[in-house]
Amino acid sequence: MANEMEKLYAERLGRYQATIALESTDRMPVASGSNYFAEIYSGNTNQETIYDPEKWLQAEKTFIRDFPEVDVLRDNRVWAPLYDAVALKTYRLPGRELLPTNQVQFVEAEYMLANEYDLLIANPEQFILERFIPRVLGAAAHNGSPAANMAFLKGGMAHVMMSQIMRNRSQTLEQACGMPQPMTGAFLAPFDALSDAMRGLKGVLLDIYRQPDNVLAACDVLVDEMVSFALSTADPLRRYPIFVPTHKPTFLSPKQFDKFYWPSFKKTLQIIIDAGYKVRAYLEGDWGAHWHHLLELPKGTILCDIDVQGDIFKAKEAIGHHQCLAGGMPDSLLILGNAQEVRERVKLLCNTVGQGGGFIINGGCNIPYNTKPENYRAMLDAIVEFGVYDLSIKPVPRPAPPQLLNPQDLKKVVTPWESKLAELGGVLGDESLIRRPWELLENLGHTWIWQWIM
Amino acid sequence: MKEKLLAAMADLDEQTTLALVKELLQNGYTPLDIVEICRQGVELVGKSYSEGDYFLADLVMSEEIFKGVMQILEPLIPLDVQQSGVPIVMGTIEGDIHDLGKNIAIYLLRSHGFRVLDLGVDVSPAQFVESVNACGAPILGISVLLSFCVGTVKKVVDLFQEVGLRDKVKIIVGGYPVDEQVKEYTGVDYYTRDVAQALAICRLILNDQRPHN
Repeated sequence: MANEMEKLYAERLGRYQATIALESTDRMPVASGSNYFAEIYSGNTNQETIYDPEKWLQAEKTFIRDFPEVDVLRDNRVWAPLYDAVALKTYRLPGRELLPTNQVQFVEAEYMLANEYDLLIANPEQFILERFIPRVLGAAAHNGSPAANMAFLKGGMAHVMMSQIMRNRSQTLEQACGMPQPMTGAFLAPFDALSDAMRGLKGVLLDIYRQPDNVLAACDVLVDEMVSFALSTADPLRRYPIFVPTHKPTFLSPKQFDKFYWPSFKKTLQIIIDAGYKVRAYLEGDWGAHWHHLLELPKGTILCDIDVQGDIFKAKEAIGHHQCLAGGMPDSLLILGNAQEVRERVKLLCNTVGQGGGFIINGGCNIPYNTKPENYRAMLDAIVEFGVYDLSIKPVPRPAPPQLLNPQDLKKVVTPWESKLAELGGVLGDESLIRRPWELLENLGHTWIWQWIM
Repeated sequence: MKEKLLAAMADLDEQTTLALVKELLQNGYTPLDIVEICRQGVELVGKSYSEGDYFLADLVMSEEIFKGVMQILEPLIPLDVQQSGVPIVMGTIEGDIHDLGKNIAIYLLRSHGFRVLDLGVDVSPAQFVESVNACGAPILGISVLLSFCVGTVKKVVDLFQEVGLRDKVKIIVGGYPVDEQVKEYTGVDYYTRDVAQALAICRLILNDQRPHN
C-alpha cells in the first residue's frame, strides 16, 4: 500500500511539474488550485472546513476516493481559530457571522491612512506593528493592554498550531492518498499588499493620482517583505509552486499597470524564481491587457490561472508558449450546464489550447462550490479521454529548480541578530547555537506580523 | 471657463476641477449649470471607459472628483430638484458583501440623472421586492460577485413572479459570474459585466417604455 501510494504520488507530481515546465508528459493533469467543490462534496459545511481540520481531511479523503483522476488537492486554507484569537477584521467567516454554508469573504477597509506612506516606507515592520496591527486585529486595539497581550500570545500559539495542522494534512494526503499539493506558501504582489488590507482598493486608486511617488516607493519596500513571506511559507523541498493571487490588475489601465503594479511584482517574482521556486499566479479578472509581461520571466516558471473574464484562447496565443496556463472552463457551465456540455467544452479545449501540453483545465481560478458532481465527473472523464499526450511517458518528479539565491538569506526578521548580540555585549559560548534559533523565531514572528495583510 | 471645467473633469484633474467649480460659482453660474457641465464631463469619462481608454481606476477617480464637486454644490441645490429622476433600485444579492461594482454603477447612473435607491449589500429577495414595490422603480439592478450566490438571484426573480410584480420591473444582473447561461437560469431580463453597459441597458429600457409618437 505504502509503495503504491508513493508511486501514485510520484506519478501525479511528475505530471503536474512537467506541465508547469512545459515539458512532455502522459496526459493533461487534473490540477485546480482552489478546489472549493472538493471541500463540501462529501457534505461538510464551509464552517467545518475552516474550524474542524479532521472533518476537512475526511472530506478530502472521500473526494480523492471518488475522483482518483485528480492530480493535486489543496490543503492550506486558514484554520479559523487563529482569526478568532486575534479578532481579525478582514474576513467574515462561515458559521461565525455568515451562514455555515456560505463562503469566507474578505472585507476591505482603510487600515492604513493616506498620510502614513512615509512611516511605511521608512520602517515597514514598525509601521505594521504600531499602526496596522492595532487597527486590523480587534483584540490588539490597545497596545500593551491585557487583551492585546493575550491576542499576541494566543495568536502566536494558534499560528504554530495551524502550521502543524497544514503540515499533517499535507503529509497524510501524500502518504495515505498519494496526493501532492497544487501550491504551498503564498505572497501578494506589492501593489496588492498595499491595496488589499492596507489602503483598500479605492484608497490606492486615489493615491495613484494624488501621491504616485509614495505608492511607487511603498511597493518597492514591500518587495523584500513579500519575498520573505513567500519563502518562509513555501515547501522547503521546493516540489510545489508558491501561490500568488493577484487582485487589482483588472482595475488598472495598461499604463497604470506598467507603472504601479508590474515593476515591483516582477522584481518579487524574479527573486523567488532565483531562490529556486516556481509560482502559481491567479490572474484574477481580465489580464488581457497585461499578461504579455509574463514573457519577461524565465520560461516555464509561472503557472498562470486565467480567470473566466480572460480569454483562454488569446492567453494561449500570447503567452502559452512561454508559461503554463490553467482555465478555460466557465464557472457557469460547471454550476448550471450539463455533463454533455462540459464534455464538449473539454474536448474543444484539449483540441485547441491543450495541444502540445502546458495546459490545465480549470474553472476561473477555482472549481466553484456549487459545481454539479455529475459535471465534475464529466470533466474528469473527458480530460482522461481527450487530454492524452503520450502514454509511453511515465511521469516522475523533476529535480528542484536551480537556485541562484539562498532562501535563508532572503528571510527577514524584525530585530537582527547583530542588534541582539550588541545588546548582550557578546556571548561566551558557541554563537551559532544561540543565533540560529534566535533568527528562526524572529523570522516566524516576522511572518506572523505580515500575515494580516493577506 | 465652461470648456475648461469640462476638460478638467474628463481628464480627471481633481485640483483644477474643484478650483474651476468655485470660480464659476463666483462668476454667477448656478449650481445646477455647473453640475450639468460636470455631468457632461462624467459622460466623457464613461465614453472613454466604454472605448477602452479609461479603466476602472479612472472611474473611481472620476467618482471621487464628482463627489468633491457635489460637496461644494449640493448645499446650494434645492431639495426637490435633487430628488427628481427615474428611480432604480440596486443592491448586492443576499450572502454576498461585495460592493465595488455596484457602487461604481450607481455613481454612473446618478451622474446621468437616475435616482438610485441603494439597498446596500447582502440584500434578501424580500427586501428587493418590497423596495421596488414601495417606490415603483421600473428597473432593478442586482449585483453579484460570488458564483455561489447565483441561485439567490433566481429566488428574487421567482419572488417577483409570485407576488405578481414581474411584468412591472426589468431586472438586470451584473457582476463577475454572469453570462447568458446565468441570465437564462435566473430569468432576469439583462446581464452585464460592465458598468458602462449597465447604464446603456437602463437607457434602453426607459426608451422602450416611453410612448412612441
